Amino acid sequence: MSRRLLALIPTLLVISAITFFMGFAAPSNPVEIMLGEKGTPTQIDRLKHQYGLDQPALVQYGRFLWNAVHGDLGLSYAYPGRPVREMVQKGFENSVKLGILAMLYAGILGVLLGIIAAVNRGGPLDLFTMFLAVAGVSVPNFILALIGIYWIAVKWHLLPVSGWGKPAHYILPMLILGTRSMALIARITRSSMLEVLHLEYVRTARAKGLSAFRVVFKHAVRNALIPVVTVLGTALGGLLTGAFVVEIIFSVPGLGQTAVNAIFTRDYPVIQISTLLIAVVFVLVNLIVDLSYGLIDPRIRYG
Amino acid sequence: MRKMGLVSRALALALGLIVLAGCSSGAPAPATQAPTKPAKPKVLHWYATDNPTSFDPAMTSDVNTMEAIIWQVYSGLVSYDEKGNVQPEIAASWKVSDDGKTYTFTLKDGVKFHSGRAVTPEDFKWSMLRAANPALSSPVADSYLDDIVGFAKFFGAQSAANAPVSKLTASAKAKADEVKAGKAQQSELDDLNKQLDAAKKKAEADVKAAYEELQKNPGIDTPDAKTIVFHIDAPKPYFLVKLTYPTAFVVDKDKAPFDKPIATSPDNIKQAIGTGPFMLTGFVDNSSISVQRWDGFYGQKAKVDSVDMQIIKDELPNYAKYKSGELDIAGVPTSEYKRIKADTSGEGKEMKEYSYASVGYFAMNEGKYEPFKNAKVRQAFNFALDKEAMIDVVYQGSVFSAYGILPSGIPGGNADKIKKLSYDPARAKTLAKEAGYDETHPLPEMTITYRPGETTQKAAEFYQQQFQAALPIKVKLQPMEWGQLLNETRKKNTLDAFSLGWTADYLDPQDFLSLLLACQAPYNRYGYCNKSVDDVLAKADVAPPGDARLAMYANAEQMIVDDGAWIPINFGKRIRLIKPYVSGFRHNAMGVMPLNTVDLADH
Repeated sequence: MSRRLLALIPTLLVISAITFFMGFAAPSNPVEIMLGEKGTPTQIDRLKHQYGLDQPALVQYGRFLWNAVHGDLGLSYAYPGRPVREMVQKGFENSVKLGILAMLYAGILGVLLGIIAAVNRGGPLDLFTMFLAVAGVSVPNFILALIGIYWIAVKWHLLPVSGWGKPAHYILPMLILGTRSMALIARITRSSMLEVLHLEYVRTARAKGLSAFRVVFKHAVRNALIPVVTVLGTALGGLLTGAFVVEIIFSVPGLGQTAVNAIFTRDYPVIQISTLLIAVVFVLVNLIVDLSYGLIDPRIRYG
Repeated sequence: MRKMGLVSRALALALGLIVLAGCSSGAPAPATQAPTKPAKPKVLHWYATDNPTSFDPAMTSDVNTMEAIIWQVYSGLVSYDEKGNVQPEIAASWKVSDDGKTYTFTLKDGVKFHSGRAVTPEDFKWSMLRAANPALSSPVADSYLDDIVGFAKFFGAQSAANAPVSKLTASAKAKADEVKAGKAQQSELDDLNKQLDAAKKKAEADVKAAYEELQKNPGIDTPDAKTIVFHIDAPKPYFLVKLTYPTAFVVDKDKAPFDKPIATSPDNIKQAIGTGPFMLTGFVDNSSISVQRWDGFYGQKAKVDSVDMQIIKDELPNYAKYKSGELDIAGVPTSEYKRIKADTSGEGKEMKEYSYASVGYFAMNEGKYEPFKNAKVRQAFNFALDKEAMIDVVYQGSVFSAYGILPSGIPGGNADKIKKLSYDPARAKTLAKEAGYDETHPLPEMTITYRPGETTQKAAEFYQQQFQAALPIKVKLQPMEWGQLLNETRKKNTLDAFSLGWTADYLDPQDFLSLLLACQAPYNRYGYCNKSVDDVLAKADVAPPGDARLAMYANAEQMIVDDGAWIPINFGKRIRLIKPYVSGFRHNAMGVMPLNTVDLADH
């Protein structure tokens, strides 16, 4: 495992280099965006010089790496004077909070729906839950968001439309963010359960007289969970690092907004740090998923 | 089965939790609450459309930050009234010398910072020197303070010092490419880099010396505790108006750092000390801003206790929050405008429209597309466009149509009286023919470059359809990301035609005509040049303020319109929904005015 963690370092270096030079290749620069339609060539030159943007790419990248290794993540270009660390840290915290809630919702409800469908195979419950699953995957999240806002917030006044800071603010974004994963997990759980429910040991357990509840939850589910954990793991990386559309609609101050806005404003340091952070999260999540296989199925263990 | 019971119980529990959470801290209960005796704090629920870029008036150039923070928390010598006329703010009165180059301001009594300290003329001088400080890298200081003699000298010296560095940097880059291609020696590159380093050191030293010179001789005198005098480099009548811009606002020299901008962060709220009717009290990045009434304000004290601004970047959730009662004032999504306007017994009553000093135009680039060099061709394009239909179909009526350059709200604006190049496709065809273009000799293919978006896409398609119908031409469309588009327009010779806009920095015709349409104007990115227009503008820029001066600009504007320099498309409109219990919300051509006059009735 420590080997895998060490492999993180060259991965991050490569990602940071690619991001940096791609940012450089993109036309325009933070100063031009900041000045917008206003901004004479003289002003642009002067500000570029003051921000060090007229240096060759390698020099700027070198400077960035040197500072980063010493813990100085630099100042933003788009928000003059703001430390990048502060901008990214708060956004990341908020995205993680929302992401974990979305994952819990997706995992718990998804598995429950999948079990219901599998146990009631072919019946009305199966059809209904699978209809929900298909809808959850096919309806774009911004449409779902607007429908949710219209009915739950505007018509029924159950929740605020958007905002951040109170528990009520988490619910709608969590539902919208997690629904796609929930739907995928429901389907996967269903097929996985169906396979397991037909295995010999399950029939044996039922023949021995164990209740349906114990058979399903104590004996079958555990073996059906491996594909579910895979799906959760794939989705988790994305959930934790922010979803731009959901954040914009619900005014969630997360990493998605920070990162995407940084791209539009060519805020190179923020793009760098956000991308690296997202990369670290994905690698760590994959590692955790791999390790959790060992927990679920003792036959899979890493040396 | 027991399992089913467990599941449905779990689901019911979850639903119940949602409802509970909502009830405890969700949307406000619908109206009809009897007012209780100790008055609840009056909080105005308003919004910002984007994350503010700074807490610092010396650094701000975007309207969103100005409306949300700068205009509430800070103020300057003068400001605009509701009609767009300059009025006293911290200055009680002012005198202009006969030669128009000396402005003497007398400050009001009792003007204090939020910290409690009285404002002095020294504070103004300090704030302006700070704005010009190279360490701040203000993107706007040189546009707004460069008329004051010391500052004009400093900014000139700064450009002169940096010029060799820019040149050498470009040469070094080119040389590096040559070395890679094997066409030059590494030693040449090393030489250039050495020169570059030396030039950078010299530039730094020169700028430092020039700034010290500025601090000694800024061109600002502070003869006594109530008087401040500005010496400007030419009798520019628009100098007064430029002082309404935040770069000229005063900050507390005991709180604001002299050599660092006040960046947006909860930690920096204590530095954001101004003289405005509100104090900054809260900020959550990308989420919310809050300000609180300050009872020591020199003007009308705010009627509400605080203003809570949610940062809402999309117009649909904004409107949804108005409908749910979470916002007292909101914007109107373009797609909803017509429906709401027609709802005269309902929400239509709550909708208010305001003129906004901005213009959107279609630029015909003489630097790239040859035929545009001929005035007849430009006029033909003007006549080929049915602007009224465009405003209706593309913009759903949410903007005003424009036939001139100056929006109403700019003094001397001629929006009503200007002689228009109105829709006349027959005339368009004739003019094209006179210029030598017809079915047998069509105009070369033209590409329109525009920023992607729902409305801009419709606009581009509208242009394409109209021009192809009225003129012998094929038109292509090219969407281009905003940053890239700006970059290309600055190159001046790569795009045939593009859509741009201009928002007033200050309400004076000079800000539009001289900055956009003079031959050497800094923002003239389409190569338009008419010597007669230039002569009139040059005279008007230094004429004494008054009707005669405005008449000169009106004259220049008509010449520009006749020349078909642009196709002006729309003048700005700000549209708001305002709840019936809100009173005193004011707007002028620059935007939302400070919110101290806003009051909330019981609701």
